Amino acid sequence: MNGSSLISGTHDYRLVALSVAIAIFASYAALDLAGRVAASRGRTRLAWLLGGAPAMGSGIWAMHYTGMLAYRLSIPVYYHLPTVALSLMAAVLASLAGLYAVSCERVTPLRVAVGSLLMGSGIATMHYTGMGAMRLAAMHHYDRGLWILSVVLAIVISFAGLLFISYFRSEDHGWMLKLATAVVMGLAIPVTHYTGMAAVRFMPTGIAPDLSWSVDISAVASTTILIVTFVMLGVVVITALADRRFSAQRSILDSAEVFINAVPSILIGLDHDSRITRWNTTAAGAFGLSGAEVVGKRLADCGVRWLQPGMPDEIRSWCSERNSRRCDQIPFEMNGETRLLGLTITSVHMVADHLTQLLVIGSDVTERRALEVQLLQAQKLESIGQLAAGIAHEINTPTQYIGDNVEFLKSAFQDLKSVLAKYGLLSAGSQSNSVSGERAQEVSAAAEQVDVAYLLEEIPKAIEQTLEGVRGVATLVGAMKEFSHPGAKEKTLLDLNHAIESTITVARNEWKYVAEVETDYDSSLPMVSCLPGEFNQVILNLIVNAAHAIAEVEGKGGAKKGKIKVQTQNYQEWAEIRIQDTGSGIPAKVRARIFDPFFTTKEIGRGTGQGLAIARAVVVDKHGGSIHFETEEGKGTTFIIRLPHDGKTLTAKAASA
Amino acid sequence: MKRILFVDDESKILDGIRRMLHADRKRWDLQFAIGGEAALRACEEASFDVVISDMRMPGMDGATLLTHIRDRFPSTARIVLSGYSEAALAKRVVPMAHRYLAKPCDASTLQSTIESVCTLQDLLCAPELRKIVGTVGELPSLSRTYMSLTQAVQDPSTSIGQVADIVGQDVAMSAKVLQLVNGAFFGLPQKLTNLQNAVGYLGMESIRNLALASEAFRVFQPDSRVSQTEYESIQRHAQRTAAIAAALPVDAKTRDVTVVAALLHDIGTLILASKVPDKLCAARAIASERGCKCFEAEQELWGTSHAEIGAYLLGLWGIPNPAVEAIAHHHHPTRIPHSGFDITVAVYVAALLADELDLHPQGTKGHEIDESDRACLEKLGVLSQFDDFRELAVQIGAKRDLPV
Repeated sequence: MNGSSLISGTHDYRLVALSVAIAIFASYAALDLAGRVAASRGRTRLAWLLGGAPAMGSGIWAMHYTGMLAYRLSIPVYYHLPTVALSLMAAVLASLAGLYAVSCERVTPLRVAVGSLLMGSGIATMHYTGMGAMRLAAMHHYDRGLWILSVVLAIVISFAGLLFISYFRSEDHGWMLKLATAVVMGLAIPVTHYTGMAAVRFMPTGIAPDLSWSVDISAVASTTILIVTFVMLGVVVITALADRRFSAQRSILDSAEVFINAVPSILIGLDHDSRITRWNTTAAGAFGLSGAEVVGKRLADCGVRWLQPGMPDEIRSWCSERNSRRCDQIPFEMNGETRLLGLTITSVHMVADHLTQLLVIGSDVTERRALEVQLLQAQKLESIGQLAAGIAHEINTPTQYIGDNVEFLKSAFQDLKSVLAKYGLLSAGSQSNSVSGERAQEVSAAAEQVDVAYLLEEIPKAIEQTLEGVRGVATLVGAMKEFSHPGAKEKTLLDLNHAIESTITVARNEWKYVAEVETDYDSSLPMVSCLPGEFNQVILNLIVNAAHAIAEVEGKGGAKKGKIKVQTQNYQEWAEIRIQDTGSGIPAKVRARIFDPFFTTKEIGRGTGQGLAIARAVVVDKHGGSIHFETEEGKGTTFIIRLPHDGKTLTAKAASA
Repeated sequence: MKRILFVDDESKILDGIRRMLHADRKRWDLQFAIGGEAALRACEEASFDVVISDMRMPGMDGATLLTHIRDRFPSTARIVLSGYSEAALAKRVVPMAHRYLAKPCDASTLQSTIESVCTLQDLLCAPELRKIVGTVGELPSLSRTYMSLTQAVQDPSTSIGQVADIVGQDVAMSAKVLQLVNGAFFGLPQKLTNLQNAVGYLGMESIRNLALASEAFRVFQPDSRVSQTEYESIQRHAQRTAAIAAALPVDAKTRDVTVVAALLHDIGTLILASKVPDKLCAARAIASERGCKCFEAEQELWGTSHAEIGAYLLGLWGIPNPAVEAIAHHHHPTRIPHSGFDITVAVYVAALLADELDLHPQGTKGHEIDESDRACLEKLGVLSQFDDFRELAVQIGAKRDLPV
């Protein structure tokens, strides 16, 4: 074959460079694509595969065609459109195979090998089909060696490319690395094309080619192809970027959702219209209603059986307040059981729509509440048990002297009767004018015998003390009833002065051996809404503590009795009770801990460490009041309780003033 | 005239007692003190025969006061009259008080308690008794085990396990205590084989008392001049009396003290046998010569008897006062006033029945009791029940499972 008979082709290097640029861009897009396909699941994955493959395929194809255009022959060249379309199809299928191979979760070498075989042969098919679409007045044949080399290169480069992609597809790698990979791949891919071009020889035939369905690729057309290609690839890259951002956000949202559901507290979101927007798994469990059942409904009619009238409305009314509100013991019914909720309601200002939503967090506190009641009851029983011995003593003492006095009155009456009998005789004698000195002497002898003077002096005292004793017992029994307040489980208006007086009486045996109690009641103190039993418990705990503190001083050698001063005073917003002792004071190092549950400085068996903890729980949590103390070691301690008049919580300022 | 001091922090209590006991002004000199300090001052001025004190008082409390009185005026009888019925407090009192009365306490209980305390005091302070006790010489000391046991029992924080451990250290004592626990006295549903259970079941105080009983028999081994048979018969009589006493209708709460009192009621004889056998032999000789009872012969010889001697010694050893009283009066229960079937009555009746059994082991049905005992039983109000008691005693005597 004569070399001069061949049609020589030259490459337009600008277009070669363009083809390389396209290859780099397409590689970059392929990396992005592979990453998205691998990161997505199900339909999204299929969409990425089916949408990505044409984009990538057309990228490869555009690279090829730009390469073709860069090859200049001396004779006009036309392209047979159906074959061109076929080659595009081959490129798309090759991309599909490649993408599919590297987008699996686990990329194995075998998979890459098969993928690259398919992709490489697809690319070769595209190339040679594309060559076949050329219509020109020449015949072409291929150099066998170079032809085989180009196919092998196609497969090898696909293999290398797919390995790169599978390695760098991960979205953790920065775009720089990705770009570098794309550059290397973009430089390698055209090698197949140009090897293929090197394998072809054109021999002029002079016969006009069949130009049916064929077109001349004008500059306009090739520009269009390029633009379309770039746009397609650009869309891919941008979409991938957007998708990546979107799915990153979604995964944050997903994990937030998981966290919200995993919160072991009830979490309910309410929009400005009080409609439920959020209802976590714990809420679903606590109310027995799934999120799907309640979202969009109002809290009032979402299916929860509220037992407190107006309860959901109350929540709504807090909407305007900016701060959090705690609400204990909201009753509702589930499975025929009354249960209690403890909720904290926080209003959240939404930046997007400037509307206020409510975040309701809480838990079912039924069991905890039951335990608290039991604990309080246990402490109450403990102190009643402790009191019982003292009360028995307080009753036994008057009973003793009442009995003794009555015994005395009984015998005194007998004695007086005997004197009266003598006197009767004397009197009868005087009626009959037979008064004898003897009779009179008998009377005075009998009177002396029974010690009438003593009896006359002692009988009124005995009667007085007996009555005193009876009154004392009656007062104590009354105070006990007052103190224990059976049945009063709700807040009632209480005369604090009277309640304190009763408690002091009941506890008399606890303090009387070590202290005098001095009281100073403010008579202007209005009735205060209280849980009477629990209030009395607090006063008892403080008085017993005061007595113990004084006993401690006495134990150290103080012979004199101490003093417990109990004072009440009315203020604008609150009632104040001060219980002051002349005891040992609270050592500085334990001051911070005295309200802690189970903290005690008393010997084992004397205190459980619950007294002050319960006092605080009752005063602060149940009555919205405050309790604090002033103390000086060696001088004594004063506990100050403030209870708000209106039953609402004292403001922080009032509590600490 | 007996001088009696009442102590209380509540003046109305003292007023009430003063008025109530106004009728007794001829026989008792009643004094009153408000609070422990005043009481102690009164004691320092002139001694009292009896002090009756409240427990809880501001300043010096009753326990402290009575401890002072015990240490400084040992011959003064000490009675607690308290509004507290707590076991812990009562237990704390045991070592320093002879009697424990709970408020409210009626006039007759108060009077009879004072009377019996005075009677016992007179008996135990009698020069005749002191004289014979003086001849006995130094008393044997009790084992260290018993001492620590007594200490432990008086400490309110002692646990059952600790008491069991103390007894357990002394093999002989623990064997004896278990034997006594499982004997016929307590009618246990099942045998208690470990000390912890025994202490848990009967209580520390009872175990201490049983330990004392076993100690008493251990330390007074008879002199060679008294035959072993004699010694054994004293022991057998003691156990028989205890078994019968336990079966008598005593208050369940006092059953263990009753058993101990019955076990030890003749300890005086054992003391005499071991320390002054000559004197005992002389008394026995007179008794057999005249055909009278031993205690009558002893009374004639020394002006006192083994009953008072035993009570005096056991009092020193810390046995509960009701048991001391029961032992002192076990031949003369009518010397003191009684309220129902108390420990003294039980020990007296049981000893009487055990004596009959000793003399007539084959049966005592229709046995004639002598005139003085009949009168005594009648006065105690148990004569009508005596035949039933005798039947009970015969049944018990038939049993052979009594510990020796």
